[in-house]
Amino acid sequence: MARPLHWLSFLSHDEGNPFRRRLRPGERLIVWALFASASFSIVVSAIILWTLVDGSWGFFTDDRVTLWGFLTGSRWQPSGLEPSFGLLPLAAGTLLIAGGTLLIAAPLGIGSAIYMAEFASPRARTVLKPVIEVLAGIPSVVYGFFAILVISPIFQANLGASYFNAISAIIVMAIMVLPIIVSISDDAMKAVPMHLREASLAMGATKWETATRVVMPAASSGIMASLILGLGRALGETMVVTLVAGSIPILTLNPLSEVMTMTSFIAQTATGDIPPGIGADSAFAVGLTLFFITYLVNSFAGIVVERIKTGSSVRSKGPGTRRARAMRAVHAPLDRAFARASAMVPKRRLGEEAMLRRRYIRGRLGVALVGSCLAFAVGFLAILMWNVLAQGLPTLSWHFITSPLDWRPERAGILPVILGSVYLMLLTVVLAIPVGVGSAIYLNEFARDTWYTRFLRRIIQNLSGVPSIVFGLVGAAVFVAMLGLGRSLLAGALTLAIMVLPIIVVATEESLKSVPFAFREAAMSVGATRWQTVRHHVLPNALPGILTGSVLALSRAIGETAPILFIANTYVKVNPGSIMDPFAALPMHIFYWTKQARPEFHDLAASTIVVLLIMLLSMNALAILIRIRSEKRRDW
Amino acid sequence: MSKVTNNGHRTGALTVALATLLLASAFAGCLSGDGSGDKVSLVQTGSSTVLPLAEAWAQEFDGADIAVSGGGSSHGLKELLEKRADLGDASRVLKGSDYEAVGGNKSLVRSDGTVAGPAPSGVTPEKWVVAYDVLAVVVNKDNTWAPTLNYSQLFKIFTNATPAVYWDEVPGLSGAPHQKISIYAPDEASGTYDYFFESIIKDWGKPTQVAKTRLEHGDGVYHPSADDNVILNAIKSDKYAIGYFGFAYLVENPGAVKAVALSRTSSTGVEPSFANVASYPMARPLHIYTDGIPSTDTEKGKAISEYLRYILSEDGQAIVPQVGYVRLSLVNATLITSQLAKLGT
Repeated sequence: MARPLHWLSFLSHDEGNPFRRRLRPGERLIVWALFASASFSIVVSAIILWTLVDGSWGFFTDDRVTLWGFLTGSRWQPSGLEPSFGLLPLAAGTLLIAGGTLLIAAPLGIGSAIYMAEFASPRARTVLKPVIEVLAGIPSVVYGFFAILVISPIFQANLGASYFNAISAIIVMAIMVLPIIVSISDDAMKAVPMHLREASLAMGATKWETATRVVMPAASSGIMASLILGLGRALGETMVVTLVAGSIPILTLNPLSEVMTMTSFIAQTATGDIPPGIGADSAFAVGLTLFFITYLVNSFAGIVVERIKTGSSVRSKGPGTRRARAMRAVHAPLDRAFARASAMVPKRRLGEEAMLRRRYIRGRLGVALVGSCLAFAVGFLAILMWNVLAQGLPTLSWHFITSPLDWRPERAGILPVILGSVYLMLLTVVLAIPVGVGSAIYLNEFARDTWYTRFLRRIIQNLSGVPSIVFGLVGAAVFVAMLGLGRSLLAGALTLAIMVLPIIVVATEESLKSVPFAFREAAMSVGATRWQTVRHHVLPNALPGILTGSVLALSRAIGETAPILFIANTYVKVNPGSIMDPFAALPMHIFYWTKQARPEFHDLAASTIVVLLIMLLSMNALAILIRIRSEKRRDW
Repeated sequence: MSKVTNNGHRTGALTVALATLLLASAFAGCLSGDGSGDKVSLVQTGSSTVLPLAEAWAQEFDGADIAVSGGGSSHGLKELLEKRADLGDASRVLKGSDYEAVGGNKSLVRSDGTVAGPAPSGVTPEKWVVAYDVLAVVVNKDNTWAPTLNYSQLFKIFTNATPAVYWDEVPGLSGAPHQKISIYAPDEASGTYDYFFESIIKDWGKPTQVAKTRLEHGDGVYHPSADDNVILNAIKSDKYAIGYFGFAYLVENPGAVKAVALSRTSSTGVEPSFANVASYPMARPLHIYTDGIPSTDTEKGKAISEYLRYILSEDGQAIVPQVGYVRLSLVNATLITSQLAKLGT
């Protein structure tokens, strides 16, 4: 292993030895293109950073602002007679809401995932999993109104909470991030090799003990990852907190109080009427800070996940590390499982009848507990859905779906809005999938473990945690204004494309990893170049996974309001006819109509939610079909 | 080469990919087709208060395809000044800082929102008043002690100079209970907030201003929200609440809350209504800004000119009360003729 690791080392090839020739000359172009797509994430990050720095320049260079005062001040009052820019109240609000959300969502989500992965019947699983995934696509505005009209009054009446309060926001947001935690944790537990369970059961452990002491620890890196993604979503959530938690920056961690988060301040200021100046610039400064916070959280989480995977806190360096780590990653959980199982034996007399009964009762109780987590989540969502359907179904008609927009609610239709959303999504697909899939192929198949690769991975992971309102600011500043695209479909699709890019990269990498290494070895051993191997053996087998991942990424894109807040229109006369045309989009209209004075528009908003859910359902049904088909055909 | 490795599995997966691609290219094909025909396309953006009105006008006006969007007054003015919008909606007038934000000289902007010279992009913003928005001060349905309030009473409730904590501390209210006041109203970023306090605080926004709003003061009594429906609900559910928002929300939710009659100084107030608007103290103009007086030499200029003419016409103004705002003629009868004269013939 004396070869120096250069960051472009994939391009070097030994001329002399035909068996070391891994790429044909023409193929090097392709790999260059893949390399370029992967590096595109750096461009995206640079664009985001530039927008935020440019926007907050006026803020940080103002005489009234010092960096120290900004980071440690305890009063946030951006306008008025005595402006004061101390970030702590906003930071405390963000911490309270995101932390509280995770505190509730983590046990609930992990419990639900344990039940789904280990105890639910296969049939129940095939129903539950997609249902939970679809619910991740419910627009947050829906959760917001549910919280303020149903949950908040309970806390006001019983605990003396204020009308706007953090706890109501925390509760609905816990339900909002639940699908992310359940879905990814369940995948992680399902991926734990069956022989670990068999070994544990064979040694006399109950199913409950197997699930909690063998499977869960073995899946801990995946569970951790799900919690981090959940935290990222909670940190970046805008609409719910703006509606429910209030808009006073108070330095408190009392969940019954009203608080303001960093995202809700950005949204309030960016869509408001206050004249430009230091108050408006401060929104970008807050955005910049939030960007750094998500970067820190992600980096920290990356280190934690890595340590859990390798099962040690020792940082080893140098070539060959990767293989050693991989070996340890496979064996560590197994070793620990056996160590645990054997540790149990001498301490307690496991075989004794009373002990046995106790263990089984504990198992029953445990299963009941995790089952009720899932039942609670599903029940909560059922109530939410019932609310939406009861309001939205009566006004949902053929006329509504096929008519143009109208300012009179009794005549209004949403055809241009549906078309706008469909076009927007297709265009996002065309823009995001080649780059996203290309990045993943490069990272998984061609990249070596260099600092540059690690940097790329860190950047991509960080992008997936950037709050969607920040993408909204970037879209408006860069695509609409700087590139002169205006409020067009193209500008909207570009914004959504950079938002879903990291999700597509991660999903694609996962499905590439699931293709057995033996396939690659077999292809290479009969003389295929590395690109031929990827093109003819890896990609076709990974395609179903790539497609399902992309569909899920797009269902996130179609339900988001914040990124297209400054790009979508609320009225268009004609259906969009070219990619440079103005457009309207479903989530934006839901948001717009709920803010209208006429109650009839609120019903139309509910009907629009139903339409959006139907679209989400059909997209997810497609993903499920692909998954089922591929699993049937899978021959390894 | 590829045939060697071909099998059923791969073909199936590739078919799906191909289908996706075909769908995408079919879409691309339909994109290149002609869109709107020969009508001029206009972009109108800005204040969310003007938005429902702009939407109605854009739909009823046949002379152009107008795309309407919100995003706030500042956003609308910035888009106009940087030539990305043809019509900028604003619930406040143009300020010097709007010029500054696009690199212009702020001293070119007069205090009434007109300008002495163009912005760096060459745009010379021209202000058009298109309707009035009445601001309603509202209390809970069960509030019997505050049917009328004047500005000094509002000042006592809404600002920091020895604010009233309990209702019975507000001077001149008979039978007010010893109960804590709570305020639900728009947040600082909203133009409504700005207009409300401009009315009741002396020298608002000027260097000589002394009093602060109760929200700035931060005693936890003022609960801001960006959503007027949320404010309405909050006041509906709190007997001792008071707040303010656009008249439209009062009209569309009859009986939900009670409107307070207002007066500047006396104790006999005027209730907010379309009929009373001339004597009601809190009515603010809503504006559309354009790039100069639209010239009728270009197709676009002609369309903008006709659109403004339509807005000022009887048909255009008839829509205004249906959306919950006040038509120009009820507040200032000469405004229509003077603005029409400016547009030329």
